[in-house]
Amino acid sequence: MITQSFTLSATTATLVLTGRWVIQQVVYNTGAAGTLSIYDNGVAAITQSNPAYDTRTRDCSYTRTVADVRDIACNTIDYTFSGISDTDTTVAADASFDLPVKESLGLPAAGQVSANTLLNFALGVVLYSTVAATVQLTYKQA
Amino acid sequence: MANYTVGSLPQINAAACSGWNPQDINLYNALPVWMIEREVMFRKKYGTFNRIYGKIPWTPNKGSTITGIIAEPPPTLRQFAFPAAVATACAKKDIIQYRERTFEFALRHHKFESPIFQWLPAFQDFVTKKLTKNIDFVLKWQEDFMSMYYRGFMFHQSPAIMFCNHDTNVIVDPAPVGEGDEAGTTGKSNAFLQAMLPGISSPGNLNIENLFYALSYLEEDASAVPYQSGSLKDDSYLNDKWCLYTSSEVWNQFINDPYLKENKACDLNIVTEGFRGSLMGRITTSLHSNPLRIYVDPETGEVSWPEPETIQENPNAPNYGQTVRSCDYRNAQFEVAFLVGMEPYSIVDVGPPPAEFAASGPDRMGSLKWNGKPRLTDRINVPCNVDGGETVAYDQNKYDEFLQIISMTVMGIAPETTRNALPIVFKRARTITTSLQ
Repeated sequence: MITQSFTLSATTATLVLTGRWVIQQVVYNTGAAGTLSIYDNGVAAITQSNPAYDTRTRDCSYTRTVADVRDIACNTIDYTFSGISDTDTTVAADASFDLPVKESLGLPAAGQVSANTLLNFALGVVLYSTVAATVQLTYKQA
Repeated sequence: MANYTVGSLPQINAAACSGWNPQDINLYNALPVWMIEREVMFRKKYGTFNRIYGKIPWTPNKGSTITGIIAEPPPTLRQFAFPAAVATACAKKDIIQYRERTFEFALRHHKFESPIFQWLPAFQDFVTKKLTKNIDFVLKWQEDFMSMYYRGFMFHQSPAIMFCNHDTNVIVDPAPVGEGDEAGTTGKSNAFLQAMLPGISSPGNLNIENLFYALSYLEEDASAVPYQSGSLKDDSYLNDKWCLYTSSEVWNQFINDPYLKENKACDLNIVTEGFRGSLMGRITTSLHSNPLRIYVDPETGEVSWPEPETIQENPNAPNYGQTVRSCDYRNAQFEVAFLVGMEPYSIVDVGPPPAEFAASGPDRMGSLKWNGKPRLTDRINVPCNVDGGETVAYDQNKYDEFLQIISMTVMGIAPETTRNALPIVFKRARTITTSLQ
């Protein structure tokens, strides 16, 4: 288990650890009201660039009609089928995909707040504070 | 220490008790290195899909694609039933109709070869029977190839996929479905995974809690079916159970699982006896070597599927020439396990090649074989150099100086009930635990 402190500048994403880590405690200390957000990323950024990709979506209330079906008595019948429909769709590329926040701590005024956690990071630990702050992390290898 | 001088040997008429005359240890011829041949054990946990899937025969001369037809039961359309009172109302009626569902499959083929062997190393090298060893490795490589083909097909064809502890989409249903390809552009594409993986939060590993979740999804939402008694030979251990295909790393982590530690029976000695038994009485685990692992580039977030192994190529390294884990595979952050029920897929029984091609005889040099059995061939074209070293032509191997191991396999897999298998993507972890540690 390692305990280490990091100094953050306001509104600047800071990469403090690279690789796979488990964080068990976060202590956030500021001189003004602020919010700390923690991200899982390998570079000092809170967005990433995603290419377009294909996926599927579901229509849960779908109806289709097969018209003009002839039976052996020469009747013409329209059949209606109801159910769901899964269709292919494309999600557009996003050059500024917002990475999800893994943990967030807030302070309404200058002071300190801590949280005991079990945060599992795959790429690295990026800290982002809205104000200048000091953050102490207790962590170990995942 | 004083040096002793030994006179020229042999000697005659030397004085008794004169001089120290030890034998020169470097005098006679000796082999520079004493070589012994050893075989080391390799993990033999290849995929067991052949045993756990069904079998479906291929019918020749019926085209390149077979369409299977399944009678689907009609859906349950109500949760309550309110029949009319006999005395006061007319009876209503239900009209029951079943549907048919189709699936298609086609055959695939692949060839396997060794390098071309020449007779000189077999004559002078220390290790003999290199060809026999190579045949063994070609056979194991083939088995692995087919397991990877079945496993990859299952991954890309599954109609749903689970991302453990995802912020918004633990189960993606419907998920993208396709054949998959080398570039990662179809099926569950690399771009799809790149968009989804950042959402996996904590703990994010394949723990018992996440397995509960997957099991409930399969049984309740996907209407998937576990193994049923009598469906396979020797299947009693799988009756009404699911099979979890995963790695030793995940299995070893169960001993550290918070749910297990907080709920284990007092007599379950997990310290000296380890984790044992089926999970929750519903899941049996099959451990695989080289599980599917995803490497995410820390700088770009791009997804790749690294090669599991490589070779130590530094001649100065003590394990020079050894097969070892590749760096990106070892550092891969995510892994994929499969929770599998009753025969989601069937392995195609291809049968023999066409009779005219499979027959052998005095007017034939060989016959078509596609059952994957490695064999030796000397039908090799040898490059022929003129004076000056420029290659100008290929000559037949008419002096029989060269041999090669060849093998061809035709295979197929039918996606009969793909919803009975669920790929589960999770963060790799070896130390996730509670404060009870």
